[in-house]
Amino acid sequence: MSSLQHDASTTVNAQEIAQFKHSSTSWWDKEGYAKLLHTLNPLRVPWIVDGIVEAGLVSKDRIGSSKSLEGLKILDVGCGAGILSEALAEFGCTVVGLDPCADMIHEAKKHMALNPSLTNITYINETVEQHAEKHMEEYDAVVASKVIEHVDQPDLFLDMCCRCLKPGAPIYVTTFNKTWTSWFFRFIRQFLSGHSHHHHEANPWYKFICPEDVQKSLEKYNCVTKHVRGMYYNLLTYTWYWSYFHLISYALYAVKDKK
Amino acid sequence: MSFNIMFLRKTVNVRNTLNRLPFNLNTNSILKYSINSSNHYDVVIAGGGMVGTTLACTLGKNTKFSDRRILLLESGKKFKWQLKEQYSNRVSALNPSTYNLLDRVGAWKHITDVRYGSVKRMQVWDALSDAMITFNHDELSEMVAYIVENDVLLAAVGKELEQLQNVTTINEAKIKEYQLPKKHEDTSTINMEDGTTYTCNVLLGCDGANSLVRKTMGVHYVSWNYNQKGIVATVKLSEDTENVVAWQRFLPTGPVALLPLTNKLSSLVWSTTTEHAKTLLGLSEEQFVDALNEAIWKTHQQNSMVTEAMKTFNKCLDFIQLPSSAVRQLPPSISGVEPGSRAAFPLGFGHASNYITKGVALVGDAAHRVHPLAGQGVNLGFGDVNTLDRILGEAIYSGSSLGSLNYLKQYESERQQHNVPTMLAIDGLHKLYNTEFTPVVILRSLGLQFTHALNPLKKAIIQHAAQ
Repeated sequence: MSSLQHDASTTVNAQEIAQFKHSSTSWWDKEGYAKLLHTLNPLRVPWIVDGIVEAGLVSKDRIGSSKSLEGLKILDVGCGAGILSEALAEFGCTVVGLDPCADMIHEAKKHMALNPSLTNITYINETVEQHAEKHMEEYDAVVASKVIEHVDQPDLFLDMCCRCLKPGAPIYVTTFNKTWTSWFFRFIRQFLSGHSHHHHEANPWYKFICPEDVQKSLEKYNCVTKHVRGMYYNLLTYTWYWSYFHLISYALYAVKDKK
Repeated sequence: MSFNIMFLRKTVNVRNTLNRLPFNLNTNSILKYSINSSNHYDVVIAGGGMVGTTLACTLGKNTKFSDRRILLLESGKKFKWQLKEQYSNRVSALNPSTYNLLDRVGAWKHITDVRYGSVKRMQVWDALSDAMITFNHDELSEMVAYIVENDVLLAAVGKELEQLQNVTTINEAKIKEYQLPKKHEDTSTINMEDGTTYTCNVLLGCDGANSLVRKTMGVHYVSWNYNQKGIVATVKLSEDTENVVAWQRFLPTGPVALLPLTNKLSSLVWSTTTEHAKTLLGLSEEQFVDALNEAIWKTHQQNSMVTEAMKTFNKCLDFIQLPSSAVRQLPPSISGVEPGSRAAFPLGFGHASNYITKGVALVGDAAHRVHPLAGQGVNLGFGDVNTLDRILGEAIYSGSSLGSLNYLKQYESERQQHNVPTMLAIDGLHKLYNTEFTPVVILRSLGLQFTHALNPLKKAIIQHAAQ
């Protein structure tokens, strides 16, 4: 079990941060670099909300209404410029967005200012280790979507995420699977897109993590994995779909044990 | 600096925004433009006709909209409806899908409490030949359509609407202009003639064929006049009968249709040329009744080629053992017209090539307008309501902005995929039956006869019209 006396940036990879800093200004361009993330919202947001309802954290009369998450506190780890945070905030919950890249946080705050009704999001430029020290067992849900493939020491990362969770609360992980198929698709994507080198070095395939490993780590930290769903991206219609196979991407839902 | 000022002018609740920016601005000039946030709504529906009111009611009852604010702006006075014994002359034929929608929002029970006509069977025939087609479900088990007075429908939906906390209705709302969101903006602004301003995340234009929302959007609108008028009236049948059949006869001047209301009454929709319509409106009641009976009953001089072609075709059908025009029910004859119920409205075609733009969507007649010959006009609008309700619900459920193009585009494709073929078919039928040119008459008669003989094809047509 890792102690709390780590060097503050052990889950953070400097190259990844540099890569994100480089692309941060175009993050909110829905047709640009982060298109995959914008189009993922219709899939992951209902999934996250449903998971919170399943964990029993929403009172019956609020289920299905538009502010169903009012009164809950959600941590969006690796929030980037806030694509997911803003969507979750629409449900009335308090959202804390965490990202170690200062430029991303800056973009997130800038975009939040454009919509005056978003009064319930806070962005913090911190690593998850730093945050976990101060906010143990404070959150009704932790979402680590499309982030674990960018961190060093995923096990430590998951430990820190779980520390922030209240007992009985859900944690969500979406990421790429570590399979031959995903390697092949990366290869094709980089081959076709041409701006491969930069990104390839920063986010190599060996950092992908398979759901079994995530599940094992989470179990160590008292979280029981309830389901793993596959996702695939239709390149022609730019839409994400749920799939039976999690060969390329998957979405994992786990709940922390109640004491 | 200047970019931010220009942009902030149009944002709601400017004061709040200013507090968050990392630098100070001279706020004096900007506060002049600050907009009252209680005039901001998630959805503004422009137009409180049948479609607009039903849309407001449907969205209001959608659980995902329970904490959202919806505003319905209607330019007319508050609709006070009183049950009159006399039927209104404006009725609509509602298909099963519309029935389901109205039932779902709880308005159908109010309609049942009042009155409506049922159609279990439709018979359509040509004046220039013996071709005929009938539509009905097997054993007349299900309804093909419901005939409801427009006022009754509006009152029924209005009754449900009153109870909704999240919907505000403003009557006698005269809209001066719309300001639609530009590239980086998210909200539309509605400026009223009395100086009030409303803002919203999505503007839904239900303001009819002359839609101001559509004109502001600047989308391409394909339209033409049919140079025809639809005469409506409530007519008395000469005999009490179980009135569950809708009749339509295609005359060279246009189709005449009788829609059942009660055992003694039917609603008339007679589409004919503008001149003929003027004449008909000017006739006395007796003369009008005669003209109407003639339209339904008189056998026109049939071209001998047509008669021969039909006879031969029927023999072929009999040979391959498909039903020919055997069972022909006789249409009713008319004995009188309800006083004061005769009126006429112009007919035309219209279709917007885009139903949407960022933050705006067109619904109902604002997007599409058809000939009444197939009784589909308002049903297309209710179909729009159904789809829009579902798609906006999905947008909310994925935390997206209501005016987001991603979702509005889905609405547009789905509805256009359904509406365009329907509208083309209706317009096609109008053109097909608007001529006395013999080859066309033969073709359409054989076609009609053939369609009548093929039950699967008829079922498919009913299915499509019922959606």
